[in-house]
Amino acid sequence: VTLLAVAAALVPISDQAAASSGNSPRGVRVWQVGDAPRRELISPRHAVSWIYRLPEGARQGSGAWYVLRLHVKIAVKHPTRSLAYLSASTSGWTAAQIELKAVRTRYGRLLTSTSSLGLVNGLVKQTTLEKVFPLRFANYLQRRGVKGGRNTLKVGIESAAAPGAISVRVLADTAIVRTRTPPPSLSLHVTWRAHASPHVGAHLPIHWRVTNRSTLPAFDVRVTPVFDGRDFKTVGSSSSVFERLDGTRQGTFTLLPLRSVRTTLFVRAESPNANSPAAAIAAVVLPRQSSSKADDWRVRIAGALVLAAGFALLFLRRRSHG
Amino acid sequence: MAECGRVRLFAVCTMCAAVVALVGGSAAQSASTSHLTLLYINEDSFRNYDFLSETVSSSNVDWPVTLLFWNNANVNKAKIFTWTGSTMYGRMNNGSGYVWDSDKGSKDVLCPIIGDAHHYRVYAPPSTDRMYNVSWGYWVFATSHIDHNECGFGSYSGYSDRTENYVATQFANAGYSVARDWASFANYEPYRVQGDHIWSNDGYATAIRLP
Repeated sequence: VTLLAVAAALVPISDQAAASSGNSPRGVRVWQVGDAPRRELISPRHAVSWIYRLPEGARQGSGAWYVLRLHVKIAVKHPTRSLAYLSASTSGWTAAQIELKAVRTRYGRLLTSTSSLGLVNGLVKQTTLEKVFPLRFANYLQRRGVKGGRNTLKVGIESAAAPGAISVRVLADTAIVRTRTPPPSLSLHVTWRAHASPHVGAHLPIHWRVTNRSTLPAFDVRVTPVFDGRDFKTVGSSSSVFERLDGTRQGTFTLLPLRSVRTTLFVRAESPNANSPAAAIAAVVLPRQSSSKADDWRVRIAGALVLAAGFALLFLRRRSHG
Repeated sequence: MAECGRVRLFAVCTMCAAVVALVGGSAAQSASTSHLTLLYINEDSFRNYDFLSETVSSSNVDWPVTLLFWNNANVNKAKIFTWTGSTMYGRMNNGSGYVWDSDKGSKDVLCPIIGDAHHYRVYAPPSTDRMYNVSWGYWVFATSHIDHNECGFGSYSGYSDRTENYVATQFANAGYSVARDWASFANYEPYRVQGDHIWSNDGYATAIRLP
């Protein structure tokens, strides 16, 4: 039963890998391993490299972006003792660092965990009981890793495991891709009633609009107001979360000023595979306004009483004169 | 009997002194700075000091950030010494929100009675143990200091520059590319004594490129 539970908790790595590759930006394949005469098997003592060429004047991010699409088949025979790292670099500048760890379960099977981090899919963790499994990874190259002319793609493993414990085959569709799609990039626009200062006790609505300027989705985007808890509290939702953000989303946070203060509050958007823009609002919170309904009634009742007292006085005078 | 009592008293006093020295050597006292700020690189950002607890405050800092490990770095790969020290806290954001990372660091001597231990703490989000951007690749940052006579008498900690240089030399000797005082991290601390803290930092961090 325990084994079944463990198995059920595992992510089927091939499905996840397929899903990851689907998020890779579309572009022109500049070069792929399949173009080279041989495919390579990598072990901790044997890194492999390929030569490829980029157009003269190639630069990362100036109209074009270069992306590594790595597709490997990993074979694990023994536990890795500690973390092993599968790395890929272009001309010495690393674009893939994937953690691998294989441990033996108490049922004697090898359980392998992988963890990759990049700008396309953010952090992706997977586990599998397969001894041989595929892994796809995509990431934007470092700026220094893109230059015109001759370049080198190098793939290697660092591991303290016994020789033969882990080996990796780089598959033919591993490629360098040129795309116009930038990494997910968020912009944040915030509006509020700037013409009228907020008052203590009066709701302060803040409208926000977050836009992903890339066609690549930003994942787990969270929009939150950031303020000193002594100055404000949120009324209703205190954050908005989007599992996937393509295009624009907007919303409103409602804050309740708690004290008269001159302060700066922020709205921040965050995503594991994008930038974290923040918008600042300089607010001067004025004291509580005394024109609430309750105050109005008090004034009206007081007025009515004064009037009634006046009439009564006049009436009594006339009677006394009469 | 009196002789026996004196010996017992001496033993107790010696043990107390040892305990005081040990505790005094390892306990961290808060320090303050006027240079605490956020540093940004692409979508990533981090505080230029680490903290005694999970509170961002200029009066709760421990040591300045003096080391940057980049290109193909992570927390494990950046640590080269055997021993660790007490836990401190780094603050950073790799695009998914500000997080704390706690670290005991990497130390070349456990607790010196006489002399210096070089101690640096390496930080990255706990979920990933590294950050990535197109400018620095996979990167982590570290604060540094020496612990002098930590388990002896007259102990103090500080001189961040010294451990920065010492760690840089260790990596350079191992064949890594090291750019000493590579960039200003806006945490210049001229020599000054603040409790058991001895500040000394030129404000420029050393960048160590891991291949």
